[in-house]
Amino acid sequence: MKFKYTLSPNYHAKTSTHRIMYDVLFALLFVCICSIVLQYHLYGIGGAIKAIVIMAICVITTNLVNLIYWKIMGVAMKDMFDKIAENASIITGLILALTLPLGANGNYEIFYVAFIASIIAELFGKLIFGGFGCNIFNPAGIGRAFCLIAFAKVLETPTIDGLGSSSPLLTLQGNPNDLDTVKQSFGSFTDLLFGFHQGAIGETLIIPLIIAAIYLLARRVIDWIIPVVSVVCVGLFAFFYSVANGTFSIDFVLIHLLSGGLFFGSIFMLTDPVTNPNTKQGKFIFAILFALITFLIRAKGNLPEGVVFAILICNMFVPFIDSLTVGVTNENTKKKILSTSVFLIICILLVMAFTLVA
Amino acid sequence: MENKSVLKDLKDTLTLGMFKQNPTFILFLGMCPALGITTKCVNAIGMGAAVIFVMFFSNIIVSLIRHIVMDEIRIPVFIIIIAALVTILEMGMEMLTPELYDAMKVFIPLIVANCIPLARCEAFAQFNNPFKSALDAIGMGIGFTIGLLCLSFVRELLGLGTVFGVRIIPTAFTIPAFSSSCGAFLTLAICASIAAALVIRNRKRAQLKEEVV
Repeated sequence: MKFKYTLSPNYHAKTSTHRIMYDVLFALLFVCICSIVLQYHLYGIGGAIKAIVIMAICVITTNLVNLIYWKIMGVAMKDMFDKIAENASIITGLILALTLPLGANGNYEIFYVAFIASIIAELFGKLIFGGFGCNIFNPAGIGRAFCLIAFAKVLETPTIDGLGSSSPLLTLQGNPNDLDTVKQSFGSFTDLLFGFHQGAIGETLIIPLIIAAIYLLARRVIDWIIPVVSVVCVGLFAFFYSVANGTFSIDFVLIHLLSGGLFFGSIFMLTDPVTNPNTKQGKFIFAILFALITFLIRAKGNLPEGVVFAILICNMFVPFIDSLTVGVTNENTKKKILSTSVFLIICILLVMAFTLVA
Repeated sequence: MENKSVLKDLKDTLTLGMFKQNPTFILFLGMCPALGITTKCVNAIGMGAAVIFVMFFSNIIVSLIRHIVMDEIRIPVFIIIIAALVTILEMGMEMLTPELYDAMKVFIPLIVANCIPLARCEAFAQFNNPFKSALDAIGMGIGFTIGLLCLSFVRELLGLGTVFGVRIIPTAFTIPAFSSSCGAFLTLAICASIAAALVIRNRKRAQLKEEVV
């Protein structure tokens, strides 16, 4: 009899960090190409070039920041390529670029915003903590949140070319009880589904995003729980909110589902393997919490869109969720389902209670 | 020979607060003004001067009365001394430099609650003679001013695009977040981490030296 001795870990999973990152990169590039085509369709060749330049700026800046940081930290030049590839800075840059809006025609401030946001995302989101795998927050989320605070004027200026409208959620925030006005601002729900409305470069493409998600699911890069549960829960919360409000209509739910960065955030940013809970139950709780915070910021907060902040806040709760769920070895599935559904019901009641708050 | 060691001791007292125990980056004292008023370099200098004034006199007075004050009531006594000095300073500043007074209105009375004067009374002045205490106050005050200047230099340059009111970066390229509180925390964290890195490097060098010797 022959034994094979190896050091732990001894499991033989085919997925490696590199393969995961190549898959994510492939899915992201697919979304990027779709969004460039969409910008070309909406704004002509200028829009497409602008989108490409924003993506290039983000990717080049994140890689440069990596290079400089590791140079200062004393990594030899010949190991540099591996080090930068290991840190997956291309993915951070592309995700960040896809969350930025295109900006008004002839206004190039967005390039500067993209540059600063990439530096913040890579340096403060990832490298300060020790590189990929050590970060507690989503790096692209940090960059996006910082430029949301720092350059609010640039990002919120509605672009008055091409479609002549502001983003659906911005209109919704302006007239919370007048759905007809909101619907007029983007045409029909098919327009919303195919991305023919105002929004960030990558977030409006619902169908390509779903295709990318199916690809990632098929390659077992992401778990189905987080994207599905978070999207479904935002729908649920919108439904119960409008029911409790007394102004129920299916349009309200659809607007909340299809506009804004919900799909993009839940597929690409929330499923970041580093900032995720480790257990299935933890993932359920994480996704429900994300949906709750997103919906509350949208409905009751000062901002039209809450996905980025919800992602960052949920990232903060990951260690806490893990401490509650990791290490429970005896598989009491019934109890887990019960506790998760109790949490969901509490969240729904909370959303309904928020209708009473002025 | 003895004379030289006395001089060295005095020099150490003076420079201790400037770098080795910099109140802002190493001791993390007086964080409230360090985050609040460092939007402009001018404010930093004004705040530093105010703190040097208060510390100078409070350290001297405390070290003069150090044999009289009972141990049980020393902290209230120190606080009363500092509060009296701050009140004098506040009135003086309102009369002499009304512009500066307007810029840092709330933070002048807050010097009383600022930890540096009390910490130096408690840790240094109540054990040392007035001359050394005065030197320590000046050193610590300059160290605090250096800290504030570092923070406000970065924040003014990135947030407003100016240094001491002179425009260096065009308005279009400023990052307004650095003028708000989030930029204050970021800048403080970066500066403190650089200071910590320098401290670690110096410690390693000193260890190497010892090993060689």
